[in-house]
Amino acid sequence: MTETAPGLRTAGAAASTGTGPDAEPTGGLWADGWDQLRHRPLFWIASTLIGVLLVMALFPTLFTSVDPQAADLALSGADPSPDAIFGRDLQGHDIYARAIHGAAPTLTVGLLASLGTVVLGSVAGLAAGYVGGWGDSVISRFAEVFAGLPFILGGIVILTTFNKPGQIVGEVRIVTQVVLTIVVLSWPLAMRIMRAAALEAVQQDYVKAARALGAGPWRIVARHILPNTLAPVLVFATIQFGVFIGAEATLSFLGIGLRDPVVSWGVMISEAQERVADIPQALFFPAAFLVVAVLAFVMLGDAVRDAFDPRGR
Amino acid sequence: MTAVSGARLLEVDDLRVEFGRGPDTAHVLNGVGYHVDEGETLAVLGESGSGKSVTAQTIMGILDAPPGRITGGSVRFRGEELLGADPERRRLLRGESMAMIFQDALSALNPVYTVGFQIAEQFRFRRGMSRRDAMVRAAEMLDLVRIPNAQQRVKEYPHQFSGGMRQRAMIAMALALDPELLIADEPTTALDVTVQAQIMELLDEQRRERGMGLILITHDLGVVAEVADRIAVMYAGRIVEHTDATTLYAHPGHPYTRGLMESVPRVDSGAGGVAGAPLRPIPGLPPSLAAIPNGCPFHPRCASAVDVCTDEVPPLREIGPASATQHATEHQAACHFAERFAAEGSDRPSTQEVVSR
Repeated sequence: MTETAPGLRTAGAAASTGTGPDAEPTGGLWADGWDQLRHRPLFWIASTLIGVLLVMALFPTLFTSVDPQAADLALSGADPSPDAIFGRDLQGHDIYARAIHGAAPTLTVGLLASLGTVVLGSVAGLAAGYVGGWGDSVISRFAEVFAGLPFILGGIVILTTFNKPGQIVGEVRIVTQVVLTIVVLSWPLAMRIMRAAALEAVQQDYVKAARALGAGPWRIVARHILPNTLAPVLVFATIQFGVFIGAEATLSFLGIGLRDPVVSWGVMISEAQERVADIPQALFFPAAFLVVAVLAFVMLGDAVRDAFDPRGR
Repeated sequence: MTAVSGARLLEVDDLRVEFGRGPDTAHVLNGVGYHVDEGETLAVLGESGSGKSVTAQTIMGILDAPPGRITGGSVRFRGEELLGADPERRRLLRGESMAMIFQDALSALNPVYTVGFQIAEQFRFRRGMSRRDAMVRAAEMLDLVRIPNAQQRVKEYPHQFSGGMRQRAMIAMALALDPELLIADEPTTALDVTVQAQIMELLDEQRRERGMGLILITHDLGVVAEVADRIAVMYAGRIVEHTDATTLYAHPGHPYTRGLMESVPRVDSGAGGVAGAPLRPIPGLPPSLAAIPNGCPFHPRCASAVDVCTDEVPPLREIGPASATQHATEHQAACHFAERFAAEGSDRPSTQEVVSR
């Protein structure tokens, strides 16, 4: 999307020259959106939280030097202390260290699932919206089949087909499986949003004008429809990022998602469930991290949607 | 005003287009035929929904199908049949040989790209130019359509242009590949009057310099009078009258044409002294295209309608020069009593001046 970037840069120029005869925003969709975003405290709070989470995921050693896998059964269920500030879980792991190291797999699943959903959904939605007619019908009906599957049921069916619950699997393999499961069950949502936006864009005069000047179908889709349909899908992706983090935790909690040796917040919650009464800190801290992360992404998505969706203003 | 009649550029013959299916099928075009020669301006005149734009889109091959459906007729460009031709061949003709500009230039320009980028696209993809060379050519095109400070403006976005500038940019885009035929679909409707005149002047000048054919779609009689070599009047998907501008204004042969002229306010009080003359709007509404009346489609709104009008569809026929003083030009009208109306002439004596002005 290098072509859309200049739109952001002209924000200042457009505002200063004031070319519009009236007070309507003159910076174009992207520039106006950015302008709106900058003035929202919600956006900055969410961004800061996400920034901290990203640093946590990329450089966990900045926050803790304790090995998350180091377990000392003698210290099982120890209360918070200067040694382990969040206390220790049933196996004697340092909960703080595990929560910090849990950020990376959690965010990876969220990011890859959002990315996959958006890419698959956008391609399908663009095709449906641009081709129209029976092509649209085929893609839409196909998407409805997947949209009709309840998420938890679908997740259980797919993941237990590949792995027995509790079976030990490699890190890369289980992350890939969880991501693909989420993508397969969620892409129809992105597809519907993209299809609606594409249907609207296809009707625009600039698409007709491009055709009248001899642009081929690929150029029309890539250069004229896609840049004008991206905003709603990106907003959706930001909100879904938070939702998918929650989905990963749900699948892990059910014992069919990520699992030991991978440390994620969902895995920690799942492990903590049996002894909640004895060791509440093992449940509380990963759950708190999870809630904050989900909240941050949903807040960011809300702020972005408010800024980019003219109907919400 | 008389065109140096060049070769036949475009011929449209008995074009029929329908929208939708079943009992609600809208018969949008019912046998439209016109032609454009090299270097001449054909004005297509008519109310909204008369099929002017659909004809243009069918010629360009950008009609939305579905819901549109071409059910008959032919479109020939330099003798080459376009309907049913290979889509890739038609795509290559667009921009290169025939181009189109639209009414609302703001929505016809993509909001996320600079104006220069959109003009340069033509040169990059159709002429294989580099990005840098294409931008230089784009600035030249903007200069050609008299956008001041083209070097700077080329980097601006459509929303930073004024209405007239946008239409100029749109014209620059359409002319980039030097087409032989330009279709202008209500190019001045969205603009204010002073800018309208400038845009018409620009189009006329470019037509003369390039010797290209121009189809000017409009509902504005004033616009047409000054630049059109010939005028085709459309009603309910048919051509109802076709002749040169002078004859049309002096001797309208179809009551609909006459109605159009009488519904235009006049402010000049020249020799005719018609300023302040009451407007006589055409009563009623254009027919629903799903239920076009029997016989002459105009008869429910026509003050002179008699029995034959409700029974027989009047064909578009040659009615000959209306008076001895007129040089013999073709004059066709689709009215049973066209000769009578043409002989009566317009009851507005000053219409002649509109043309000779």
